[in-house]
Amino acid sequence: MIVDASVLARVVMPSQFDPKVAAVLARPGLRAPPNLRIEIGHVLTKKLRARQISRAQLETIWRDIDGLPIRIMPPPSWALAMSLCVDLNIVFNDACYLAAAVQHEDLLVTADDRLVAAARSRSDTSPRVLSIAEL
Amino acid sequence: MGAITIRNLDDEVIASLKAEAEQKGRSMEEEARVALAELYRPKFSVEEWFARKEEQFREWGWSEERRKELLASMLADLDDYKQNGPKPDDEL
Repeated sequence: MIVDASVLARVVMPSQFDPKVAAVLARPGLRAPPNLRIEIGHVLTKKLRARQISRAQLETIWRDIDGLPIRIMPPPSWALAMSLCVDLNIVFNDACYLAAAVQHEDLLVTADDRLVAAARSRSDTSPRVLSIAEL
Repeated sequence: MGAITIRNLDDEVIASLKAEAEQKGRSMEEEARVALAELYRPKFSVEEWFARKEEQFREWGWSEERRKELLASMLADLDDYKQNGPKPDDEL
């Protein structure tokens, strides 16, 4: 199962017991393309600069992500990612996640409803996406 | 502490491992040990993860409301980043 940053954000900032987060973490073989860490790194440093979290809190959250059972995959096929980006009219970051799922015949779990809707508009990508709400 | 022997490694992999080890001033064995530990060290279970977060957030004085606010803010920033990319005021 592949997870995107919309799911990881809910994992690093869970409610007291978030059953959706627990359901994701309980799945074996979680993985993601490298842009997962880039996106989460961006939003966390934005919180630091807005003084919503401290440097120590940022470093703790960032370090804990390494302890999650999520393996970083090699980048997806760039050609496939670009093709999906253009054909489905989705942003390139999302296309990378979807391309990884198609390429490896895996399932992408996301909390992004627009991405789910776009992926379900085509027969080859439709079975490769699942909303976290459906877990 | 256990030990394993890895056979049939490509020469290119060995050369790359040697170069990386030399650059860091480590033996090849130490470099391989660190790389394997990085990839396969024990991960948090679901229970451990929630317990860890509870302890951290309590220490930091973060209420449930504060967590929800931060998550909503992170998701909004994530969406903005995906749609529009980084902005000048995001830089240090």
